[in-house]
Parts: sequence; C-alpha cells; structure tokens
Amino acid sequence: MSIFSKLFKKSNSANVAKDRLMVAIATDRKTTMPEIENMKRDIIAVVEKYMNVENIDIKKENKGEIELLEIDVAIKSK
Amino acid sequence: MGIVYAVISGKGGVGKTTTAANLALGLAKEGKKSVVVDFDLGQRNLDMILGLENRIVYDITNVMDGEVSLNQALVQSKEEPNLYFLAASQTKDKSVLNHEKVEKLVKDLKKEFEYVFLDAPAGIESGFEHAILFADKVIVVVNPEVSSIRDSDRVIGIVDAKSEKAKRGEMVEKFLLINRIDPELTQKGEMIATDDILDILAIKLIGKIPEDKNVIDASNKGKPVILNPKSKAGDAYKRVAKRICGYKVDFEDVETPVSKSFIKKLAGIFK
Repeated sequence: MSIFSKLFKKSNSANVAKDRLMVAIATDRKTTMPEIENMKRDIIAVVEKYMNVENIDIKKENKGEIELLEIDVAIKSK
Repeated sequence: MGIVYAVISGKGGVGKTTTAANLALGLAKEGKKSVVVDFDLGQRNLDMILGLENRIVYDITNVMDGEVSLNQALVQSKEEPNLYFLAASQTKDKSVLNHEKVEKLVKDLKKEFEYVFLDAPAGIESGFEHAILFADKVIVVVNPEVSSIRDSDRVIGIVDAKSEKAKRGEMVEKFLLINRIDPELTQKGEMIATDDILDILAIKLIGKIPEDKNVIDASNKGKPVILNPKSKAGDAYKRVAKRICGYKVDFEDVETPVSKSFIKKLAGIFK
C-alpha cells in the first residue's frame, strides 16, 4: 500500500468491505451456534445462585491458532 | 499413506476446480504421484480443465458402487504420468454418496497416491459434507470480495464441526488460497488486501494467485495454466505446489502491477 492510500485509508472501499465483513461474520458465527443459547441459560443458572445477573454475552472468536470463548456476565448493582 | 486435501469454497465460481487441477498437476510435476477427484457429482467440470474429457470410461459412482475397480476408472494424464484423475458422474443424484462408500474410496486412494486432491462442490451444495469427511487438510479458495470471504468463513465452520478428524478431536489443517487478485484494484484500495482477508478468516495462507487472462485460455485448451511458462497465475500455482511439498517458498508480491510506469502509478493515486 502506498503512503497516499494509507493516508486516505478510511475512504477506500476495501476498508469499508473489511469493516462490514468483520461485523457480518461475527454475527454469522453467533447465529450458527445454537448451543450458545443453551450455554447462556446454564451459566445464568449457576451465577444466579450467588448474585443477580443483569446481562450475559458470549462470543466465540478465532485468533490465529487458538479459538477463544469470551463470556461477559454483567451483575446487577444493589 | 497419502495426504488428502479437500479443495473447498463457500460460494461457487471462485476457481476451486482450476485450483485442484493445477495443484495436483503441480505436485505430479514435483515427482509426487497425485490424483485429483471430481467430487462435484452431477456437475462434471474437472475433466474439461484437465483436457481429459474424452478419456473417461468409468466414474466415481461406478467405483463406489463396486461395479469397477478403482484402477479401471482412474485416467492417467498423457502429459504428466504422475497425475491421475477420477471423474464425477453426470447424474444429478447425490444420494449415491454415503459415509462408508466415501470412506472406502478415500482409503483406497490414500494407499495408491502420495497426494489426493478432492475437488469439492461449493459449500452450500449437498455433497460438500462428504468431500470434507475424510480430508486431512483443506484448502479454502477465496476471491478478494465480500460474498466469497463471508461464505468461506461459514464453510470453515462446517469443516471444524463435521469432518471425521474434527470429530476425533484432531485439527484439520486449513489453508487459504486467494484467487483472482487484481493488482491494480488492490493498489488503489478497491480490493480487499491479503492481510485483511487473513485478519478476518484467521487461517494460514498457502497461496496468492493473480488475475490472469491465461486461465481462460488454459481452460479453452484443456491445458492447466501451470503448464504455461509465461503465466503469472501458473507461476503462483507452482509456488503453492512447492509449499505443499514442504519447501519454504516466500510469498511473492502479486499485488503490484508490473506494467505500471511511475507516472501511471502517480496518476493512479489521485484517481
């Protein structure tokens, strides 16, 4: 990539494509895993024994050689 | 025992068959006994690319149904004696494919050949899952455009979930082959660059094939482009074949237009 195209990075359609793909694929990966919904339910059940769950978000990501499961559990503040 | 590579893609028309033909031929030229199997039942195409359409007597269905032996159905290339080919049937019926039959066929091929290439149907089609069942490794062919990249992420997911190796808890090695790279568009930032595709899909790169008019000429003649010493795409396929053999071959810059003069380059920037 030349210096010029780097300077004007955001206006390139290739970068627009990349950004759109990142979002679309992240969504695809979520929807293609029905087991995630079941897992969410189970985790909520476990955490709820000890504290109140506000929200839960599970993401599966490919980071090079390793696959990463990211679980975010938001707790209700008293 | 040979190694089985399934050549796959999300959507059709990205150059899977061309890739399978050229890589099998490339490995044969490296002195490896190789076979390429047309797994796209009902849509026989590989025979035309290889220029072997007039030599088919029996096809994959005849072999799987036990009507003929594998050796009776294999077609040997005249130009490259290390290369063999097994044709797809022309019947639309893909129900002939079943787990046991595919397993036996792949096992038999692995016994005879060092490299087995399976030219799979596109990911959305039936028959795809059978092609990846017994693959040791897969080559994902992608074009640098959004629908192809998105769909290939889905088929990579299917490989991870459905292949026998994955079911045993082993990793199916996945390699990315980016086909039809347009140097001028990439340079202008109008075509997704290799690094970005690798970021998105997160699998290993095995080849970058530039857009090349010689590919059409090659399929017209039934002589894979790797045989054309003047073809950029052919050279790129040769390098991929060497990488598969285990040689360390640096990735060449196929993104910089060759014919572009300095002035033209400057003009291109301000377009």
